[in-house]
Amino acid sequence: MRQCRSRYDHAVKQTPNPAVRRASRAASAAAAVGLLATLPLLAGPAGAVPENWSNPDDVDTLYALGVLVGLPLALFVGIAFLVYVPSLVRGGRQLSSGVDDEWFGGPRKTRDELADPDGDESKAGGASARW
Amino acid sequence: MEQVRVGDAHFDNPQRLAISNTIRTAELASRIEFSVFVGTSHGHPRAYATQLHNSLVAPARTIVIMVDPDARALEIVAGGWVRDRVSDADAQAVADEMAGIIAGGDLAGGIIHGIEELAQKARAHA
Repeated sequence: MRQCRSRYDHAVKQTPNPAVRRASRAASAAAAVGLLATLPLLAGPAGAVPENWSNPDDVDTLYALGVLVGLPLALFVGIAFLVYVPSLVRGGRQLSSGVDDEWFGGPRKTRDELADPDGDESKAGGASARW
Repeated sequence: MEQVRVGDAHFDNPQRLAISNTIRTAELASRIEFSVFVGTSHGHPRAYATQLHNSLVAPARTIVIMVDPDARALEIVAGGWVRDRVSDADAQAVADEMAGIIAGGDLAGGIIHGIEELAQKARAHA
């Protein structure tokens, strides 16, 4: 056996004869080619449907687009509609959560849900100032 | 006139925290409920402030401070029970002080000062 110059010669199994290696490669290639050549035979005639398989009509392109694109899009629009419409119907942001209005210690009510202003019989008082 | 807003909101988070802590401390000290609204008053500021006041759980025991920076309006609404402890004259004095501070550009400082002063006057009359 010839000496191996690799650092890992103890882990590498060397083929003893180059002629044997070449023959092995040729046999592998022939087997692969033969296997590929038999595949069309296994598949049968082009377009043929195996026995006992259903054979539905071709799907219309528009129908496929409707199912694969239109339906998800409709679901997306419907969910967005259900999420945003209630707040739009209520008349916009709430007093305590808006960017411009901040109410410390106040209830979460919209402007339309506020109580009426004081009348003449009110016992409330207080003060006003302007700057 | 100096703009008192911070970005798109009236306050930053430390200011909100300071106002909330001041309210809590004032309520414990005075036994009065405090509510502070900062934003746009729709219609007449006084009428809108009373709407806010009447929407609370216990208006009689509550003081509402409403500040509309755009209208440069400040309203203090005190319930009937509160008025036995904080007179309208006291509230007016506090409102004038608050307006002076807010006009100087310190919105949060003006509100905090007002809450503290109102609570102090309530304790003095208790």
